[in-house]
Amino acid sequence: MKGTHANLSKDFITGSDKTDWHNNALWFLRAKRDIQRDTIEDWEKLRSTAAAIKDHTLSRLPEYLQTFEENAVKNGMQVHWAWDDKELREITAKILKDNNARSVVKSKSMLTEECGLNPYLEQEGFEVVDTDLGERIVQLRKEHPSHIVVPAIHLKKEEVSDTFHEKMNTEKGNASPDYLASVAREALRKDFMKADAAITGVNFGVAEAGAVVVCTNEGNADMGVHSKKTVIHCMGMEKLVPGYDELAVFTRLLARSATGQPVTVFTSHYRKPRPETTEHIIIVNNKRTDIFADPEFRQAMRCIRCGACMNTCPVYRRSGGHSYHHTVPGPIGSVLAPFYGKEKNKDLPFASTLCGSCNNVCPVKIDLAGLLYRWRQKLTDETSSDMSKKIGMEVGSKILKSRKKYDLAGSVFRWVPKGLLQSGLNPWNVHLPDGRKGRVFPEVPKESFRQWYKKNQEDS
Amino acid sequence: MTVGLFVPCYIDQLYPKVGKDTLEILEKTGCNVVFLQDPLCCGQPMANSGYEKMTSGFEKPFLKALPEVDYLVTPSASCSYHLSHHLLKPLVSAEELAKVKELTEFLHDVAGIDKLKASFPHKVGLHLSCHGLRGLDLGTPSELKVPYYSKIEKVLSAVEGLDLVVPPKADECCGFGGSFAVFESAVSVKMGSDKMCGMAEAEVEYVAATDMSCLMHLEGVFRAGDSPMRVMHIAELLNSEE
Amino acid sequence: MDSKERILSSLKNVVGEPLPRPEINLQYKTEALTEIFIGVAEASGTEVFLATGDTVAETIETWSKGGNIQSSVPALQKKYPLVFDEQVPFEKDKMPGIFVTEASFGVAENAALWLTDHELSSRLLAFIPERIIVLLKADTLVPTMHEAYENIGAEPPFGFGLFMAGASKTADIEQTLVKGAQGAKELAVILY
Repeated sequence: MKGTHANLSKDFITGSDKTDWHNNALWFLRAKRDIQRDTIEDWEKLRSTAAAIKDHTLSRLPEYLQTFEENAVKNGMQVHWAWDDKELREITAKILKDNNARSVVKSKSMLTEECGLNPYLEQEGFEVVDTDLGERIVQLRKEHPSHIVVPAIHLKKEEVSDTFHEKMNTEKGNASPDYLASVAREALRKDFMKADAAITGVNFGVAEAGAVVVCTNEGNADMGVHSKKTVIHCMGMEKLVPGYDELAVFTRLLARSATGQPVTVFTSHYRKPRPETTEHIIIVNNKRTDIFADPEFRQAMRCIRCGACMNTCPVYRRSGGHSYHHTVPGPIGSVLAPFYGKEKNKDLPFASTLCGSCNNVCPVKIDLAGLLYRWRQKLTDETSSDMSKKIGMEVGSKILKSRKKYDLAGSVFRWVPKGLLQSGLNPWNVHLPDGRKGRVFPEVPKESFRQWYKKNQEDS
Repeated sequence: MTVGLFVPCYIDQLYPKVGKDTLEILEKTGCNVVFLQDPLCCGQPMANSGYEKMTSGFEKPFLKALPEVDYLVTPSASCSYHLSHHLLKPLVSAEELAKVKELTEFLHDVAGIDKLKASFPHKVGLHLSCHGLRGLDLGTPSELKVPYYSKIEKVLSAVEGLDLVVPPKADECCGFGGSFAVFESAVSVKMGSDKMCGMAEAEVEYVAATDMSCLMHLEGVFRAGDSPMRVMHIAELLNSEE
Repeated sequence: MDSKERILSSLKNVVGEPLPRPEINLQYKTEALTEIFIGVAEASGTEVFLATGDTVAETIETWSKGGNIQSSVPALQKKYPLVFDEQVPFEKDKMPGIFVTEASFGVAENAALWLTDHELSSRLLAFIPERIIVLLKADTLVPTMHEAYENIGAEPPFGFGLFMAGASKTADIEQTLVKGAQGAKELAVILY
C-alpha cells in the first residue's frame, strides 16, 4: 500500500532533509511545555481534575448539550445541530446564503477541516480565507495542516517565502518571518474588510453560561467575529464543560500543554451577539456518537486538541504530520482516525512504538498508548490483513506455545547461515538511501540460554 | 525465598549471557532460583502487532509457575509489563500479579543490593526503556511533575567504578517498538540513530538499559554506523567484575 | 427525527451512570501577586509600568509618544475621546492609533486581563488598534484562573468577555515569534 504511514514517513525521512529540523521544532514546544508545567505546583492534580471533569461532562452529555443550547438561545445565539460532516457543510452554506454572504473569513478549526468545509464552500461559489497565519499558508499551498496547533510546522521559511512570492507578490527570496508575517497581516486586513461573514472553531462550550470560548494568539477569530454581521461558530459536541469553575481548569492547561505559554494571548468568550448581528452555533456530531458509544474509546472525547501528544511523540516528530494521512495526526489522531474509516486508516494505530510519552503529557490523561493497543487488536480482526505479517505471527505464536517446536526452531535458527541473517532478506536489516547500513542483525551465539543451562546442570 | 526466573524468548536465543548474569545475580542475593523451563514468551510480539488472540495458551505455563514461587522475575521490563498488564491481568488476583517483577524492580523493592559485588570502571550511558519507565514506574519520566527517583540508578550504585551518565532525552524511545522496528523501519532506524548521536555526544563507552530488545535495536544501529559504543544489559553490569 | 433528537437519543441510549461533578481543589501561591504578574507579563512581551492614580495620565503620554490616542475609560474620555465607529470598523481616520482601556481585574499566573463589552465599549477595539494600553488596579489581581472565573461568575453576565495576555503574536513561520500578527503590535499595562 502506497499511502501508508510507513511509506509516507519513509519519504519524509529519506526524501527530505527536514526530519531533524522538524524533530527539533516540535521538541522545542515540548520543552516549553515542561517549563510551564514546572510553574504549576499542582500540575499532576490539575491534569487529573481535568480528566475527571471531562468524564463527568461526558457522563451527562445529553443534559449538558441541552442546557448549553437553552442558555445560548436565551443569550440570543442561534443553535443548530449537525449529524455529520455533510450537514455541517449544508447548514453553514445555508446560513451564508440566507444572509447574502459570499466571502468568509475563517479562524482555525480542525472540526471544519475534518468536515471538509472549505472545499465545499468554494465549490458552492463562496470565497473562504483562513485567517490564522499558519492555516493561511497551508491554504495558499493547497495543503492540509500538518499539526492541529501549528498547521505549517512542516514548512521552512524559504518555502513560505516562495509561496507568498507566488501568491502575494512578496520580494523573491526574502524569507524573514517578520517581513512575511507583516505582508500577511496587510493582506488579511483586506480580507477582513471585504468579507461578509466570519466562521470560527470552538475550544470550549460553557453549558451553564451558554457561551463559546475561542483561544487564539493572533486575535484573528475576533477580527472576524466583531466586524461581521453574520457569525458562525462550529463546535464539536465534546467541547462542553459544565460551568466557569471547570473552564478555569482548562484555560490553565490548554496553552501550557500546547505551546508552552501560560495562556493564549486571546481567550474570547462569546455570549451575546452584537446588535444587528446574527450569531450561530453549530453543534457537530460527525461520528462522535460512535466514539461515545464505545466504552473503551469514550475517553478519547476528553481531548481538548492541544497537540501535546504530537509534540512529544518521537514518531510524529520524525515523520511529519502529513504521514498520518488523517485530519488529526499523531497519537490522538491515530486513536480517532479508524472511526472515520477502518480500512483506510488501519495502519495508523501501528504508527507508534507505544512508548507512552503521549499519555504523560496529555492534559486530560487519555490512555493514548492503551487505546492504540486496543485498536490494533480490533483492526486485525475487522479489516483486511497483511497476509505476510499475519502468517509470520501465526507461525511465531505456534512455535512460542510449544517447547518442542521452540527447541527445534532454536536449533534450526542456529543453522541459518550468517550471510543470510545479515542479508537484505532479513527485514531487520535496513539500508539507508545512500547505501550505508542503517541497522544490522546481532551475531547469533553458539548456544541459547536454555542449552547452556541444561549443559550446566548436567555438568554439576 | 523462591524466585522463578523467566528468560524471554529473544534473550534465550540471542543474548544467553543476560540470562546467565540474571541467574547469578539472583543467586548472589540469596534467593532460591528456579529457572522456569516452560514459559517461553509473554506474547508481546503478537499482541503488540494486533494478534493478542494468537497468544491464548501463552498464559498456561505462567499460571502454573506463579503459585509455586514467591516472585517471578525476568530481565525484561517490556515482557514484565506485558505479563502484568495484559497476558495475566484478567486471570489472576492482584497479589499473584504483584509477584511478577522486572529484575531491577525486584532488586530494588524486594531483594536489595547489599550482597551484590560488581565493578565496571567505565562510562556508561543509561537508556530509559519506555516500558520500564512509564509502564513499571522504575523512575521519573521527564513528562511528569513528580519528585525525582530512579530505581535503576539506585540498583546500579552496587557497581563500583561505574561512571553512569543519564544524557538529555534519556527517556526518549529508542525506536524499537516490537514489529514497529520492521514495519516502520525508516522511523525506527532514525530514532535509533538519534539515540546513538545523543549517547555519542555524552561520550559514553557503553549504553545500558533494562531491556535487551531496545539494546538489540541500538546495537544493530551502532554496528551499522561503525560506532565504537557497545550495549550492555543492566544484568551484565550488575554481574561484572572488572 | 431531526439531527438534534438523533444525536441526543444516540447519546442517551449508551450514556450510562452519571459521574459526580468533581471538586476542584488545587494548591497554588496566593502571595506576591504583583511580582508574579509583572514577571509573566514581561516574559510574554508586555510592558508593565507602575504608577499611582496621579501618574497614570503621564505614563500614558510617555509610552504613547503622542499619536492618535482614544480611550474607553470614562475618566480619560475627555482627554482622549473615542471616535471609533463600529459601523465602519476599518476606517483609518476613526481607528485609534493607541487605545486605552481598563481591565476589571488581572490574573497573576498568566498576566491575563479581563475585558468585557463594559470596558471596551466596542469589541473590536481590543484587536484593531496598533497599540493598546490597559490600566489595572494592582489590588484587583487574583492568583489564578480559578479566582478569575469566580469573579466572572459574580459579575453581571457579559455579552463578550476577553482575557487578553499580550500583544497579538504568531510563531507560525518556523517557530519564530512575530509580534503583531493580526491585532495590536504592542501592549502596555499600567498597574496602579
